[in-house]
Amino acid sequence: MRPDKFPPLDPVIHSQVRLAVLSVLLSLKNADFNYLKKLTETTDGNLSTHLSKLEEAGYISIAKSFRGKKPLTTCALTEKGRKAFAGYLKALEEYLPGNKE
Amino acid sequence: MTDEQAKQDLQLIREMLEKTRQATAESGWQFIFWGILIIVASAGSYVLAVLEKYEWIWANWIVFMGGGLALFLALGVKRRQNRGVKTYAQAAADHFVLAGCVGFLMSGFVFPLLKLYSVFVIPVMIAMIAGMLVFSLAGVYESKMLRWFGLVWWLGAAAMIPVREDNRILVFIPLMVVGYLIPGFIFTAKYRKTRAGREA
Repeated sequence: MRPDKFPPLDPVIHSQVRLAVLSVLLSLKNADFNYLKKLTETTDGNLSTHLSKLEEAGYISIAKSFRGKKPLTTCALTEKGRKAFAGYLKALEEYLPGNKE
Repeated sequence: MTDEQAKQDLQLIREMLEKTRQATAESGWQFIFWGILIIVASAGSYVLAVLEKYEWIWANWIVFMGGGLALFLALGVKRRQNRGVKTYAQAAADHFVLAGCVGFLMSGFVFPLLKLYSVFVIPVMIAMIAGMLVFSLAGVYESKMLRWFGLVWWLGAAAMIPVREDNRILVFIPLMVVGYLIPGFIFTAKYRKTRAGREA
């Protein structure tokens, strides 16, 4: 396959942290900020930035509430995010040697 | 993007899915909690019947079930908050458990108090609903083991029918051990194994 024939990769997902977040949320109804931070092994600020980008793209929904006196941020994958992730996976497969023309 | 980067991305996705699977594994504490509580309440109920303190049997069940439910909800909320995540399986299981609790309440308290049937029918009804609950949870958690334990409950319900009415509760206790405690301990053992694998 010529380089210009490679399927384009979604730039919103094409980042290690954002890809990790979407992969985690894929099998969950929702997850809180600390859970995502632990699994993706990133910092508060870094994760916040990436979550905002995913929310802006409409790939995740973020709900802010309080647990006792502590703020609680809960994230969930949207239908748009699920479709985008499936598309990204499909595009990725095209890059693998066995799938190249 | 190169082939290598594509492979790395796929590896990351696999790794995250596996981490999530490990972090959301079921510990089976609910089975052990209710198993022990109901065995104790059933034994108490039998002892009160032998002592002919029939008026205390309802109080025995109300205290154990009411207190148990309050403690169960408090522990459940705390555990879920600590986990920080809700899976689709948990959401579905919550609905089945709630439906089961309503079924237990209706068949164990409301209907007998309305004199719809004798109190000696309660263990049979409870075993039947427990079978439905365990069998449904087998679908949610994709557990063949739970499916078998659901069948055990139904067989137990049927086996109680020829037993002398006031001795049915004695069949109920071993049924609780087999149908609730054993699957609970199996889930716990698997959960510990998964956790050990995660921490290794």
